[in-house]
Amino acid sequence: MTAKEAEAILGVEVEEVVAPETDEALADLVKNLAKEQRRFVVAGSGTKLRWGDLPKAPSVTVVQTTGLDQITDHDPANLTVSVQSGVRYAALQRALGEHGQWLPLDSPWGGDATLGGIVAAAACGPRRYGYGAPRDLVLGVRLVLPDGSQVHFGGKTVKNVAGYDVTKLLVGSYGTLGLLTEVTFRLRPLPQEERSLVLTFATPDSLDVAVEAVLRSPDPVVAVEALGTRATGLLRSEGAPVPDGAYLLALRLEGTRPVLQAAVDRLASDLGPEAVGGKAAVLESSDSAAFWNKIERLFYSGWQQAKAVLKLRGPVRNAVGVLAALEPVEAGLAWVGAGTGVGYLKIDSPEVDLVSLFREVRSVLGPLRARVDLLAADPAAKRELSQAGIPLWSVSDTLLARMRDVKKIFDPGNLLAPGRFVGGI
Amino acid sequence: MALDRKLEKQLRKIVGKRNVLTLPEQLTVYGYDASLDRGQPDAVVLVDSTEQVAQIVRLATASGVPYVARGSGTSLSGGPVPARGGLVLEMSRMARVEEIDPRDRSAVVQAGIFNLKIGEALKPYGFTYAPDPASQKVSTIGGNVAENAGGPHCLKYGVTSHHVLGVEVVWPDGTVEWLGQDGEEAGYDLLGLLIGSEGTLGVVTRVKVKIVPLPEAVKTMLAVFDSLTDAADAVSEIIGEGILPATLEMMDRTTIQVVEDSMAVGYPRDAEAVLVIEVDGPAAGIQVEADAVAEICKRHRARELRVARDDAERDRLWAGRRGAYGAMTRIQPSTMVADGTVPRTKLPYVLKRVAEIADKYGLTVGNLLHAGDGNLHPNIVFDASNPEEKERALKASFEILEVCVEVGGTISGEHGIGLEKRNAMRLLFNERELELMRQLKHVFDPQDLCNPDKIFPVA
Repeated sequence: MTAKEAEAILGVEVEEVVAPETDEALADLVKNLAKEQRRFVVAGSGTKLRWGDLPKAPSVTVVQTTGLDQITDHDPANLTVSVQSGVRYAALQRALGEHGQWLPLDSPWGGDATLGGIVAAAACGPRRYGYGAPRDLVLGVRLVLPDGSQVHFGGKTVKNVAGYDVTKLLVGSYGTLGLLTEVTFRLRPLPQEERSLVLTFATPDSLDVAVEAVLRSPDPVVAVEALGTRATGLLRSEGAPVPDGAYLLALRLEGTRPVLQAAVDRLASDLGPEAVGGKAAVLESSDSAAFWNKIERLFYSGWQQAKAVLKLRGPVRNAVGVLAALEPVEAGLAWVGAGTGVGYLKIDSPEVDLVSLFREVRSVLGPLRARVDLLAADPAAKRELSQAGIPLWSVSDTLLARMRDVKKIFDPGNLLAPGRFVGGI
Repeated sequence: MALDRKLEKQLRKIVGKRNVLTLPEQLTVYGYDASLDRGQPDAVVLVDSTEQVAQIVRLATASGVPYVARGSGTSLSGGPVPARGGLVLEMSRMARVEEIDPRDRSAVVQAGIFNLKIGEALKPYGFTYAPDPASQKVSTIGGNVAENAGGPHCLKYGVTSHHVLGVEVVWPDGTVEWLGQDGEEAGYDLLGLLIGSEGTLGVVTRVKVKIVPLPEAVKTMLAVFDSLTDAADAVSEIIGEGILPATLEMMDRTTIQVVEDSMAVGYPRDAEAVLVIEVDGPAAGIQVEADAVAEICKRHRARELRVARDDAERDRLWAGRRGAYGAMTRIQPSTMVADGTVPRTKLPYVLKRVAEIADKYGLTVGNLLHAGDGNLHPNIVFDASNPEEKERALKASFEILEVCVEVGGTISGEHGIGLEKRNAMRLLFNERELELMRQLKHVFDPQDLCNPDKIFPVA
């Protein structure tokens, strides 16, 4: 990454981009930068550098972790792996795959994403429903604090309650508390096979009934994604096997062949034309994987160019309601994890008035007890919102006050990614 | 320290006259938990609502009086022991299920409800709450949240922190706040920090739990071994082969014999180790999975494999496991249970070292393990009324923790640090790390009144 490239995304002057190759070099660098009161932003390969607010500083140094690219300890018999923060997602999955294992986490933003970045952004995809979010999979972290000290929290065992679970604070902290140097994950054996069931429905009501049936079933469903009409149309026009119908529900199942066969048969009949009115397409193994790759490509990969991507968070019971409520927002493509309550609204057109769109989305989601954050956007869009006095994140003032105190403990000089996180932290 | 008369009057005003206990004989029982540590509260307050808890916390904060919330007192680390006296908030009246919503895959319960009662309430809906600490018949969800409790089924389903979606908490400043009531919160994961904080950052009054559909099929089996190492190797291979059973529990010879003496559930008395293995999931796959597990056990010289034919037999196999801890007191009046967790491949080595340590100190140790998680519970049995013997037990326990850390493990997998393991924290954390944790405590509890003296080393 060049300073120019980083500048275009961060919207402030980037003094330099430095990429240390060892933990010690990183710690030294941080200590020296801190002495000069320089502010810094941590980056991996840059797939999510657009996430978060603009740094509140005239200039920053970008510390890139891509030089820290070693898998430090893969222990197959214990189903754990420790990696330096700059290890790339695809490289890790390849190495684990040789042992029949994987990190059960999607990286829909690409295989180049680093594990440090994924953890710092708490990023995950559709299979969060089946396997959990980064917070559920990270067992321990090592990090460098702004004073240059190296500390660790958690460890290498799945169960560990020694002291406060500080690891949880680091996951999803957007690089505002410390610079991750190593992360330990729990792993899973690679599933033997996968299948997908792609269903379409004429109305959100029938979609909702179908989702309820899925959530009640003990079948090995690992992803439950619901798409609004525009997202469904886009997927169909790009050649995905999508039956007729306005709203789409995509289920991904993983397990052994007999289990999958029984589950898919049952779900297809429980959700099908006679029961709930869904039209179903069953996708066998390689078709199933190709379908999800297409979802990633169409919905997640263009975030660097999109005007803005909004993150939607609400109760699981209202996930389909959120999707339906966003139908009138014509500028956006909407999809939600119907079993996680987390969804996205992607705005591609640069012409859209983001301020009024944001207000509209907030007001339609309010009654559904759902909230909206601006997740990724270009610098101009972020400025537009902040000039209109709209905070990028929805968080209560009282919680925010405690978070500010937490930030002060780790980074009293406010040197780490200042202003990038909730409430200007 | 006697309770200030004015404070006592105010407490009685909040919860009603009869719900404040101050007689010494009433207070004594609230000074205990299942560990060796003891304290003595100045008053016990039986609370019935979040509002009462908030009022009491505000009062305690204004008066500079320490307080601790208490469920059933099943903690094994001193968690609810009122180390500095003050108030015990007795939560058992707050035991209602407030909402069950299968559509949301969640339920909202009050903090004082027993863990098992949640499962019972969910059963008619075809759902359950997964974490199942051995104490689940009486341990409360509030206590489970405080300790980030585990249990046998955590091998497959994860621990408390994976199953708590939100909590209502009374912060030490007396304000009440929900974290995660309507889905995930933005910002730092304060919910994640709160779970497992041993009640030192606030008082949890309501919990929104994740509920999961009951598995379609369950098979429970007992595998009998003539060698502890064979049993441990079988555990590693099962996991290594890509099988994820719901439970992989191990008991050694000492434990088996004590269990048989007290419950006669049918474990072979001459075995060196038994595994209680449960596989669950879709009916279409259960036999294949059970067969694969059986095959691996045979390969590791299991001399017998018994599959429970019905619920009664299944319950009997589990009764032995769940009752094992209590049964230990048949040997000697006191037990001290360690809770180290290690990478599971290190279990054979660690068990050998545990046996050596027991020999060195002339103590009897019965091992009970969540083997699949690498979580071992060596039960040291002794007589706590004999100070010399107690001293030996404490030393042995500490050495076991040192071994766990030495092989890359931790000093507590699910019981917490509490008072008992405070001084072992330095085995894991340096001063800078401990300082960060102390500062976190200070952010939430600047006066250090909320379950004080726990977690952090004193020596």
